[in-house]
Amino acid sequence: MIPDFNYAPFVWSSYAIAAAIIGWQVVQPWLAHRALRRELREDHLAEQLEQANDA
Amino acid sequence: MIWTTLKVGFHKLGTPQVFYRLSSLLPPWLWAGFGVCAAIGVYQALYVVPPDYQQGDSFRILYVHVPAAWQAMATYVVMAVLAMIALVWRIRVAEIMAMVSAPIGAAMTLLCLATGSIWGRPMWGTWWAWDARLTSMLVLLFVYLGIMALYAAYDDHRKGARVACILILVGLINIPIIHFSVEWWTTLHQGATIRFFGESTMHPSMMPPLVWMTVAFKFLYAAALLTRARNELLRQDRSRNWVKLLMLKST
Amino acid sequence: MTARPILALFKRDLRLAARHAGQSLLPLVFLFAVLILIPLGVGPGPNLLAVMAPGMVWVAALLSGLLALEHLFRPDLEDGTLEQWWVGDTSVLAIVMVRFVSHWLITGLPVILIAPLAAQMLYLPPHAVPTLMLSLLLGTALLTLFGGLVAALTLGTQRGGVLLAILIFPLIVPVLIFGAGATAVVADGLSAQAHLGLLTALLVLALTLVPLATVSALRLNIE
Repeated sequence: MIPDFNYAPFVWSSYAIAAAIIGWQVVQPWLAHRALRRELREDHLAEQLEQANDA
Repeated sequence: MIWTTLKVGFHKLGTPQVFYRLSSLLPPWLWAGFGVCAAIGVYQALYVVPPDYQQGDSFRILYVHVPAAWQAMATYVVMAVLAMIALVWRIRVAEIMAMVSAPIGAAMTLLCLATGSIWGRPMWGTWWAWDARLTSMLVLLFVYLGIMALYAAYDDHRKGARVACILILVGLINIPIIHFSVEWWTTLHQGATIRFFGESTMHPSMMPPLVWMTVAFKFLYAAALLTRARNELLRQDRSRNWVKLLMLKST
Repeated sequence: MTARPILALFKRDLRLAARHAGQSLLPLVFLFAVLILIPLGVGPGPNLLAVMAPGMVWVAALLSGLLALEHLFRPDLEDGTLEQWWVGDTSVLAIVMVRFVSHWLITGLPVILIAPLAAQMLYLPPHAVPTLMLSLLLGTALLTLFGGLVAALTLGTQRGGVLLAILIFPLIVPVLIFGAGATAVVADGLSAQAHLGLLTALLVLALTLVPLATVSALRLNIE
């Protein structure tokens, strides 16, 4: 059922590099968004605390 | 009447809030499109298409190399259009999208160069050749890196983006040079076999995975562009009211 | 619009360069330094050096040209005179073009005049020297134009410097390929018509588009 792999190692390394580069394009925005969300949440909480203290 | 609605819609699209919603709603579908097309494309490329009678199986690198090359150039053209819009109408969202396209384009160019180099070893016997196509592609990588470096060197994001947009338009000349390099010079790299209009000289049995992979890369670019642009917009606007409102609503 | 302000600016640029003659000629010294490093690096064999001569003289000329680009607009930005360019009725485009011309006279022309000596140092065949000088004439003009544009683009950064070199690199690649190529084919006994023709076409294109782009870039950076 699983075909016999005798493709040159060149093909596999090309597809591996493609997977790595494309994978980074998928992952980086998601990671950056998570970090941004965390920062924004902290800023927001800090502001709320300030407002509560001023009041 | 339609013209006014189009113009208003165009400018509304440039407002941060509308763009934020667009760039939150669209990407999941675009990623899904990418996933499906890439899965079909890779499966066909590796298992369905028969081996080439001359090159054996190493020609399968074509199915990542060529879509990456096409996307590297297409990204630049889209980036140039965005740069024109940014310079003429001064729409900030267009500036952001242009700046954010550069790393994606650089990645595509890098992928094209890397896979091309690996393919060159079995096909031509060399990892690299200083011929017109390869050299102009390498120059394209430096153009992308230059745009990223120029934007990063400015503290004022808007000024940096607009200066970088001028650079993008100056570098646009490189794209026709890359495209026609195989016609204008005798090169090691093969000439065009796939034509948009008219007969392509590639065997029809080899075409389907190429089409699937090309479409997959388009989805990839669109998804990456919108997600990166959304992040950059949030980063730049973190102290603005609309972001604070967003934070209030989400808690 | 009188020509007097433009002429005054032109004479000022030249006078300043003459006053700081040492500084203006430093890029030339650097050019020779590069040319000396080559035989020290690859060995003094005349055959090898003769083959490399066109490209090497060109690379040395480009590298030394990069040094002078920093001073094209930055001094004016720093002392505030750049903003004055938009005040008054002289067109900024004319001012920029005059700046390009004076810069080329100060940096490009000496390179062309010194080219025969550089060619001799690397054993370039004498019959190729006129082509070398002609190609450098076109090349230094293009370097001034592209360099000026990139200098204007990087004005708002801390120090142009290396960023300037990286940004100008893609633009200067075709210039180098055709310029050095023209000299090399003539050294081999063939005609350089195609190379020089393309270089001239590139120069004409740059002359029409680059000053406009430079004015926009400067405008962005004075805010």
